[in-house]
Amino acid sequence: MGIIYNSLPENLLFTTTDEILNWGRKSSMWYMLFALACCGIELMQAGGPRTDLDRFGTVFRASPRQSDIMIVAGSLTYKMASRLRLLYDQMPDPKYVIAMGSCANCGGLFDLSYNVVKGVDKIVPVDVYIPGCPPRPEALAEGFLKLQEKIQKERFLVKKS
Amino acid sequence: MIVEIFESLRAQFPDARMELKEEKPYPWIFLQSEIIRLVCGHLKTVSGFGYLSSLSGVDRADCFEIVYHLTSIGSKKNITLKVRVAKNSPSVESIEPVYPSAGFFEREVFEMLGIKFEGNKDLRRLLLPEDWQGYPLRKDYKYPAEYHGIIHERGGSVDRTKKGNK
Amino acid sequence: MSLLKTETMVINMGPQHPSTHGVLRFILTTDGEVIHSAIPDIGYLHRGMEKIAEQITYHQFMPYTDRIDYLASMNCNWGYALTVERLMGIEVPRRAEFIRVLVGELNRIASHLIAVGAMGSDLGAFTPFLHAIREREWINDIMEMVCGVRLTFNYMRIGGVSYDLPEGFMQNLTEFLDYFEPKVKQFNDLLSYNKIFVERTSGVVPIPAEKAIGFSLAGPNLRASGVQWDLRRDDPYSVYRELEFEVPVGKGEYGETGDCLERYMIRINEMVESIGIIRQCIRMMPDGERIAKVPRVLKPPAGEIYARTEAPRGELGFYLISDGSQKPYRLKIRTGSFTAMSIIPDVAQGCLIADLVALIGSLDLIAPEIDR
Repeated sequence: MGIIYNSLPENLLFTTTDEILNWGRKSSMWYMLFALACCGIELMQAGGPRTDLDRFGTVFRASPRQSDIMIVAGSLTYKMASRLRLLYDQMPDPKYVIAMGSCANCGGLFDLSYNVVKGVDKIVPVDVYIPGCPPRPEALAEGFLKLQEKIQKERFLVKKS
Repeated sequence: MIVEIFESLRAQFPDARMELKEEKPYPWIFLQSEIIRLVCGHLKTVSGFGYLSSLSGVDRADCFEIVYHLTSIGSKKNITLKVRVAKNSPSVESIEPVYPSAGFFEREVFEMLGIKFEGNKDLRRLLLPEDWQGYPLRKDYKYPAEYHGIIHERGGSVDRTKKGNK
Repeated sequence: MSLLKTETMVINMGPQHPSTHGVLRFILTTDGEVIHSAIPDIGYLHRGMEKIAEQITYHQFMPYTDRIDYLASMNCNWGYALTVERLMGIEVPRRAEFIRVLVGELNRIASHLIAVGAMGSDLGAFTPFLHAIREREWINDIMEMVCGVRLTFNYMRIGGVSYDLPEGFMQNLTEFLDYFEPKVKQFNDLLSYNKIFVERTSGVVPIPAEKAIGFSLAGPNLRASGVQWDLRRDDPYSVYRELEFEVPVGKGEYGETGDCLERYMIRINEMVESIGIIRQCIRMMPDGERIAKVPRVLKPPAGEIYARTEAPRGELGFYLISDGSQKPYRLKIRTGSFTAMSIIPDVAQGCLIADLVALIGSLDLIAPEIDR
């Protein structure tokens, strides 16, 4: 009885359902590759050996049906805009969007262009904006950490009144 | 070098209108728009200019200009040809039967300036969406205010309170 | 068996796909696995750079040239700077020329690393891609020492370069070259002579020399078909006349001339040649100015010019018309991937879908070069 009673503090944990669910969700986010332009190369380098995104539990997936986050990296044109909305609608809930780079945030340096959408948030709702042209892989890792903080605070199981 | 080619072209097509412009840094040859395909065929088979480097269109004040840059791989030389068409009904012969790569170049010039190329197998829009209005590289082109509900200017974002937008 | 009805199927190889070449789309008409027609649909990254060039000044257009081909930014900057300098008759100092060759060839190595790694990744070999990215991280660090950015450098200016080489640069670069040379052999052992890779790429879609010239292919794609044409040797610019290097040309040693494996091996050999050129530049680097005296408000004389350089993906040509004012009248950009895209509907008939993936990977297409 003494052995079991003394080892209880290391092996027992008191928490809320929300916290444990959110901890599980934030530690295994699977992102969909949506690399459009130059920021896509920094996204690939961030998944490489030096700044390893795999240590956050993330894996890249090619299909929207299997992913929770969509990282929009690069400039969006009018021809591609309808496909972006289609892919966003195909992702299952709960889903998040990260806008990476200046072009995805607000159009970037292509302000004088006739074919670039001035900001991805005209099409899909964005959770985290990462500035830079292109942002360093460390900036992308910080963006992931901020998204993890956001997920941790969500109240998932609130009864709707 | 370009003088000899010009003389040989003039000998081959004696009744066509052509002009040699000796400009710095590189000279070019002006041609009549009806004979461009024959001239290109002659240059490819006889003078060895088998590589089309570039084909572009320019919007001048009173006409459209189409510029061809040809390269000869054997003798490492270049030549520039120019053709002028009127603005109200721009149309010229296509050189796709001579240089197959001209297909994509001509489609782009058609889309950006509105010049028709007769003989091109597949003349339709290449880079812009199919329902785009207007020809962007013309000097009097006005940018659209919106495209299928997406506003062209900066600012404004999607409404998160609507269903489906979380 | 004649009672079974078969039809062709239309498949969309859509703009979003797990390949690194960017947003390209193909509409395939197939009979089972055999392709009857492959129609490309491009323009998903058309940002209108030629129209932007008519609204800003010459100096202000330099960052936009980075984004034409972001894997080889130095060479794109170089092509544009060369065009304006030839139009105005500006003489670039010798030290600036040697610095330009050095960073240009270093960027060629970085671009080819991604090209060969991505081709392996498309065919299912994911590990060599991570090896290529690891080597590229060191090159990114070297570029960051010079100009402060990892990807889109904006380093060259009209008349020279923007910053001189810092302290410790030559030593870092020499260490990198000594480290990288045996890595090419390691990469070869891992991927190039792998039996599965060879079976999937050798003899696949050979492009004969006449077709390659007719469709205006450029760069390694053209040389793999056996055509001796390299702008650094045949139409030399900058200080390439004083440097010694070989130009690898396809001879059909690995299968047929102009097949996918040939195009891949040309890129590996070009990387080794670039290492030699960089070593010569380090030895021959002179002292001097880094930029010529160029006015801040640039007004070239009225005229036009077509100038071209050898970028890693082929001939990069700028056709510039100036009317004497501060902004260009017309700027046309001719890239190597645009013509490589136009050959695909012609050669892809009769091959399998898996062969089409190998073909796209070996042609080294990249979306912003096609769409601009």
